[in-house]
Amino acid sequence: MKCIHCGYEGPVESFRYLYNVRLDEPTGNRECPKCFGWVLVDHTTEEAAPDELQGRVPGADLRK
Amino acid sequence: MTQTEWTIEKDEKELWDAREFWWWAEKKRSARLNYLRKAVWSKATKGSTWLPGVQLDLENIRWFTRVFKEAPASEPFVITRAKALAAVLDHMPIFITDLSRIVGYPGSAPHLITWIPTASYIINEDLVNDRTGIIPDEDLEEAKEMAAFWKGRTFQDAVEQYQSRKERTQKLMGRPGGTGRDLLAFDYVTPQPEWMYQGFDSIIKTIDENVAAAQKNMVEARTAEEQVANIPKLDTWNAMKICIEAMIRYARRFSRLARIIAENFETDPERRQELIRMSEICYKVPAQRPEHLWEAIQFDHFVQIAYRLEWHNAAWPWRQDYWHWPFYKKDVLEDKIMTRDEAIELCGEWMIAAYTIGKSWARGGREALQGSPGPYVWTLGGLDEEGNDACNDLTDCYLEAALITRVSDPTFGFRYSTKTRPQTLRRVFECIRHGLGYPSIRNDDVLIPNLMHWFGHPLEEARRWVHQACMAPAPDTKWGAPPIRYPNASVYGASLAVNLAIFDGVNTQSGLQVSRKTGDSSKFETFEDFYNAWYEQMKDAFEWATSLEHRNRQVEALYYPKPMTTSLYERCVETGQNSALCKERSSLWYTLFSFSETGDCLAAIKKLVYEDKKYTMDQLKEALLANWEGYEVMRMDFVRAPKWGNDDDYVDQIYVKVYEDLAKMSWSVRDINGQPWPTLPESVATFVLVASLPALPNGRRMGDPLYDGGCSPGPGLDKKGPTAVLKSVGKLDHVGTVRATLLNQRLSPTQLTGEKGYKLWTEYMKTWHDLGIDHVQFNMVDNETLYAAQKEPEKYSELVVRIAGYSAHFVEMSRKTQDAIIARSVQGLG
Repeated sequence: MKCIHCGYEGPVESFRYLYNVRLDEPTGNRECPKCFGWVLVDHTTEEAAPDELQGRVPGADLRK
Repeated sequence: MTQTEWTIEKDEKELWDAREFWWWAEKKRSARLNYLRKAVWSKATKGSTWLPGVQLDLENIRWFTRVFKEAPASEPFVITRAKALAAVLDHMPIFITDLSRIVGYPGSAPHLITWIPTASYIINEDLVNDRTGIIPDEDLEEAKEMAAFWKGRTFQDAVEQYQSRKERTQKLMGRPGGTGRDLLAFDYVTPQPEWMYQGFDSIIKTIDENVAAAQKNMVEARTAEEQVANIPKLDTWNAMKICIEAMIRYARRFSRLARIIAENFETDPERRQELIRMSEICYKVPAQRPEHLWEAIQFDHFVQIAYRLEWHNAAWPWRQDYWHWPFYKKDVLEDKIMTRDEAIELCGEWMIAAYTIGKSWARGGREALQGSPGPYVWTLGGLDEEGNDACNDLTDCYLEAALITRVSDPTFGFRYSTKTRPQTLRRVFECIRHGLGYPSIRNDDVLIPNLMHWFGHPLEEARRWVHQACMAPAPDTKWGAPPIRYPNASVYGASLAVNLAIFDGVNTQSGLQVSRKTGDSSKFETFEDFYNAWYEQMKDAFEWATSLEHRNRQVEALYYPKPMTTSLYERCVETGQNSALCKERSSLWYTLFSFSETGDCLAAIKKLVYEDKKYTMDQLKEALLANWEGYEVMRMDFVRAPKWGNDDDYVDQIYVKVYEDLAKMSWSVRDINGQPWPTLPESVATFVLVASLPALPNGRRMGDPLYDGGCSPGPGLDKKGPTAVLKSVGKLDHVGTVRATLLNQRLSPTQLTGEKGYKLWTEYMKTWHDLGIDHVQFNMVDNETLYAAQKEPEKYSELVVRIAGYSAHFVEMSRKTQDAIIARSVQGLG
């Protein structure tokens, strides 16, 4: 997995798990071990979630 | 042009239409309220850290240290404590904020928080080791010396002598929270208004009579029992008198200060007259009975200052509209010496004065109530003693004052009944629609029978209930008003019991056997076996915490009494017993913080392990120990198991049984009065604070927030709309199973505009009431606003949201808490 901030690459476990506010979504915030930036991770693919979701709260619908 | 300038240029209607109610309020309120509101030093905490500029006040600890150092060894503790409080009241610098009419603050400057040294040595040490600058560098050495003096002398030291080493260790490390009296060291003190309002001079007269009679009796008595019985009573009475005399002197210091300012410095003739009136009021109250609304508010405020200089008081159990109605009626409606608008402004000013008050309490408590200096939940509405609607014009004034002051503390808990008058209900709705998150709504037709069921309060007494803190009701009567915080026997992260049942009482994070062994769950053959293990784990924590709390109260009664608090209870002055010793008709509760995922966890285990047999208990153990890492497919199976809040009987009936068994547990332990310990599932901000709980079988990983209420569904897991939520929650027996339980709901602000919105909401409330649910509270702020506040917090400093049991300014909370609020489902009505 690759950090969206500094480009660090490592297994998903090396990014410290922070939290996911929605149990029913596979995403969760993790912290890069190199730059300590937050990355929203999709745990089904074990990759960073798409850019447009970064910084968003999982499950929150902006249209509401 | 900045965003701020742009929004302020809008007129009131534009701001209203844009739902920018915080700017609308600023335009709407008077210059006085605007100044006072902006002059507030918020004592809310972000996480557990106070906001920049807020510091500790050393006046209290200095005077307590000096008095205790100089006290003769033979002097009873209660007398020394009273003298120390009196020294603070006599010497602490006082101030009057410009334009204010309500005076008194538990500190020597508005940015300072008083330091109660007598509570807990851990709090004292935490404060001197705090690295955020809350103690000025020049005072740090002195602070350390004083904290060292109090080591061995605090209430925590006193109670720990009666705890085993295992208990002391467990409460600090092994348990997810637990007993709090010695560690959190705060109380919820409910007064008895009829006693209090007679005035302190009158109370002193009664004390003097009791002392004279006791001394005579002691000398003339013929039996040993009678000869010694009055010794502790005399100490208690004398200590009470020292405190309340000092309170009168404290108030009269303000009287002098107001007059000095008026006569020597004030140039505005109107303000000069106001200061002179303030001087008269502070001379009169609390010594004498209040006769006008302004006097009653000042009286009450002084009483709160007294409580808060003696001990940490976390709540503010008050029922202003009921207690002050005779004063309002006389001043505004009959004598017309005050207009209704002036009364609203005065109510608003008091709300702002309350909002300034914080406390130097334990870090865990600060985090559990992040964003709030309280929680100060003022009770409004409800029924009177005869069962009639008690709502009045003063109720409406407070609700209107809330719209323009927009403070996050105090908030209101509104007692709803079928008799509630429409005009007041409309104002309740307006507060919610303005995004304040309060009032929370409480069902009088549930909670009055609830008080009678659990504690045998007579009907008239039960109807006199006020919120002890966020949730629990208790009467304000001679034998009903509680002097302490009952739920110091509580458990943080109550959902952990499921995990403990899986791992045979071992906390998988610490590796400690923190609870009783209930068997190897891998060998359980049926769900009932597992359920019984879970129940035993619940009982273990319950019995442990209630036992400690019984001892804690007795230690206070024998060795650590509070004379100021004691003096304001008729039963204490009558008996000469302190407030911990003279037992009220208890209104106990054992808070289950972060409990509401329990049924979802049990349902997932029942379905996937015992019925479908898709996974074994060993596989579940592996996944939980791995924090679901590498088990995403399995985790999603557990997430997709039936979830609470969807009117699904599979899981709802598990919750029903859980609640019924909580009731059995509650009756299995009695306090020293013989009263049961009903549970109260809720969360305040513990849903974030105890996110360190290990992974749970509902699919939650360690670190994830928990569900945000006592009976609220998980964020986003209530997928079938608001009626389904109400139907699920309505299946619980809210009278006979628990003390109360907290339901959070988010409503769409766009849907609830105008008359149509109000109608939708009243229909919703009718359904809620008819289903016999005891509580509901609402957030009505849209996600766009919350996202915008995350991005540009400086532009949304006045945005208030409901957390769980209290409200807070959104930008003053941690990111995780903000995200958890955004993630809650927005329910559409109709």
